[in-house]
Amino acid sequence: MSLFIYGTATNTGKDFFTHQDRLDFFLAGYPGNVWVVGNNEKGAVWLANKNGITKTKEEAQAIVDAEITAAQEDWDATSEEFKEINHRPINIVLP
Amino acid sequence: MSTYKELIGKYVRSVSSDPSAGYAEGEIWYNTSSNTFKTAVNVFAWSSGGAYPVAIQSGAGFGTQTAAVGAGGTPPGNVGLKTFEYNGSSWTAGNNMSRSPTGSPYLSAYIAGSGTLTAGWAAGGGYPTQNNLTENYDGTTWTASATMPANRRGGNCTGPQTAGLYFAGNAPGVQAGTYEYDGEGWTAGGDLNTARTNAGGSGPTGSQTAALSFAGNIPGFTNKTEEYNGSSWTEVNAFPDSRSYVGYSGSQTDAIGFSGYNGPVLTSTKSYDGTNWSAAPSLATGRLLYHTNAGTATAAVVFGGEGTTVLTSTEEFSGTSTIQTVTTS
Repeated sequence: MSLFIYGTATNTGKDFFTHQDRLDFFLAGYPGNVWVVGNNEKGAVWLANKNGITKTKEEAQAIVDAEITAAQEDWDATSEEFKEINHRPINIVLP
Repeated sequence: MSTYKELIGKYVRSVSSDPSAGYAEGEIWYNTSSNTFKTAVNVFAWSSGGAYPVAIQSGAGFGTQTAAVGAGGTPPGNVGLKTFEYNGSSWTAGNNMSRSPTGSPYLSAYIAGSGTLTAGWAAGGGYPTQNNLTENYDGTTWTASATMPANRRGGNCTGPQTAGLYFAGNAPGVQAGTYEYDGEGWTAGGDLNTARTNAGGSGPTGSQTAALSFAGNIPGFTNKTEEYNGSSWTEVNAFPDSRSYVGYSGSQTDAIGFSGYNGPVLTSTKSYDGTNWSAAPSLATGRLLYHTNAGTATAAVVFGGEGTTVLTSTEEFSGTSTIQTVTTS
């Protein structure tokens, strides 16, 4: 069984994830509104309550990769001045 | 072996139901219903806060978790002079910073700030050219104050408006200088042993005589930590890893350092008790931070920063008292 559940959900701000949520299950946010949560009842309920859409790990990684690739292309096309004050987005491998 | 009575001065009480967690924090008792020893501890975690109204990469943050100020920064393509106030739930627009163009397009990039919502201050910043601009905030209006003795960006501010410090930064090249601010003017303080920029430090609850500096770029990544006593910096136990663009909150004796960058973007948090660093809960979203943080080591807030893109998300670090069963493991 996978350690994590993968999905997308829009961060609505305050209380999108609460102090108690963080104590109840693993949670980490990634580009493309991708969230990785602990594969347990509370993690699954949280994603469902946030109108999240469950993804496979491969699907979630593809969303993250697409976001980063687009951000890298945007960065590559910016001015040298912008490049000096913003780091080129780096690739992320989901857990 | 010592008994609880010998160590604490009182016996472990037996109760049929648990006391409230907040009331009993730090105590231990025996629950006769569950036949278990229990205790109440403060458990910390990061939770989501209200999104910052604009995506900012750098900028000043100060105040408390429920009365914070965000000002300046580098919204892409703009000169960011905007100010927003946080009430612990949402951000409200305030008046723009008062600094006027100096020829540097990113006038408030890599600025730093400290103090409170009604008595704040911010200094330095600027890209590509550093500046020495200083401003005071009264909760409504920014007012220009005496300029710093030198141009700086990426340094740290700590302490209240009338007894603050600005230290480290880029001028260009990493800097060790410390300047003391009294709300109206500046005097020179002692130099850091290790010049650095993009570092963590004590926040608004630091002081002119008890400040903290840790991690940063020298220009490579460093984990060195130093404490200031009002006249000189002393190297103390190092931050657990080397990183820069690290977030920070707290004082010289009770601080946290979080997120940042050392190749990958980091989410981890480390806690400092004035002597040692230890692991603390991680943020949900890692980011490179440029002083967009506020609060204390037990009630912090972080907003914006640089992720894959420039971020608007806010996270809050806080603790709640929780009853836990004592086990032998």
